[in-house]
Amino acid sequence: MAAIEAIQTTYLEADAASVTFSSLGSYEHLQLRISAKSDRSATYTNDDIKLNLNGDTGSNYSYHRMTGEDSTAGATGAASDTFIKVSSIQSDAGLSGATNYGGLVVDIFDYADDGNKNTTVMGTSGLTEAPIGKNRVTFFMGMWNNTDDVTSIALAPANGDFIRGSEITLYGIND
Amino acid sequence: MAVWTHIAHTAVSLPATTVQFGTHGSAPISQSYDHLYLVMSGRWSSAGSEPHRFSVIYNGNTTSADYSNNYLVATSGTVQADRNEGDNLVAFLTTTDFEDDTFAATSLWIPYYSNTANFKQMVSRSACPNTSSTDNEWGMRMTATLFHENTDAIDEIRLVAGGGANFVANSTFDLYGILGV
Repeated sequence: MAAIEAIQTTYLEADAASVTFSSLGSYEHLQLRISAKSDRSATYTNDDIKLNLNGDTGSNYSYHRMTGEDSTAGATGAASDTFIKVSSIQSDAGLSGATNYGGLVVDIFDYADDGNKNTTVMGTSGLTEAPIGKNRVTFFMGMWNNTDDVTSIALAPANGDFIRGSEITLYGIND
Repeated sequence: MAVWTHIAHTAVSLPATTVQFGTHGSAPISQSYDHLYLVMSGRWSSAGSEPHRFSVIYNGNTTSADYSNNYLVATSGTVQADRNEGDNLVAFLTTTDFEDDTFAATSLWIPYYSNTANFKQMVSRSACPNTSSTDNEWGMRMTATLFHENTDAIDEIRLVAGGGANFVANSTFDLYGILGV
């Protein structure tokens, strides 16, 4: 068995409010590789993805991120929220060009550990919108305050829909 | 096409001060890959209001002067960077003061670990989550660590919890070898 296997790829032929993976297989860790963009209005230059596990939309998530935006570094987070904020993707602000999508890699650790751990997520992203707007590189983490094994993963832009051409692949990493 | 091979899995069933892959010289990590990738989910057995940092030792070399690092870290709204000579503390563990059942996530890359011409670099990312946004009660760290002035191939990796405490039960460690690019 290969150490890393592609479980499923979703390529959006039309705009979509969310993408859900519900057949996760049996692995040690999971990884999402995302190339995505949202239809958030032209006021904004980027958007975030809301990540929910097992359909839980309660205030059971925490997250933090550090960002570099152009020449400014900073960090923000939330101790209790209804999703993990996965940062960041491109928005359809009309500044970045029709073919510019944000890139992210998201690791989900020990997602099926027989109820021993809260689920931890860690990832990085990068997007550029030159010549106008903000370039952003992000290192983020999140936690689902629940020890259940993860059985489904839902991803949705924080503001609007995923735009056609967004692509998300879920990988399994074996032990 | 790069091929990943799972080399070893360690799941701590009892608290352990150290987790080790390979033994320098006598039972080395295979030298047949291009890169090593280590994924871990760990928690420290002692109290501490801030994330605890653990260390990495290569080939049994405990001479601190042979290590240095540079890192980018956030434990508050301010992102900081620093460099330390003689420091092999690379990544975070949650402590018993953190939310119950919460383990820090860490990944380590060691590119071209088997060459004998160059000093060795490692790049790590570590996330120490918590149900708190109070300064220092959570943490994120990206670290570049140099095993410097030593061109030996890396054939042993030792992760040391440190501080007189342990990795708690259910901490997991997976080592992968990557061949090709």
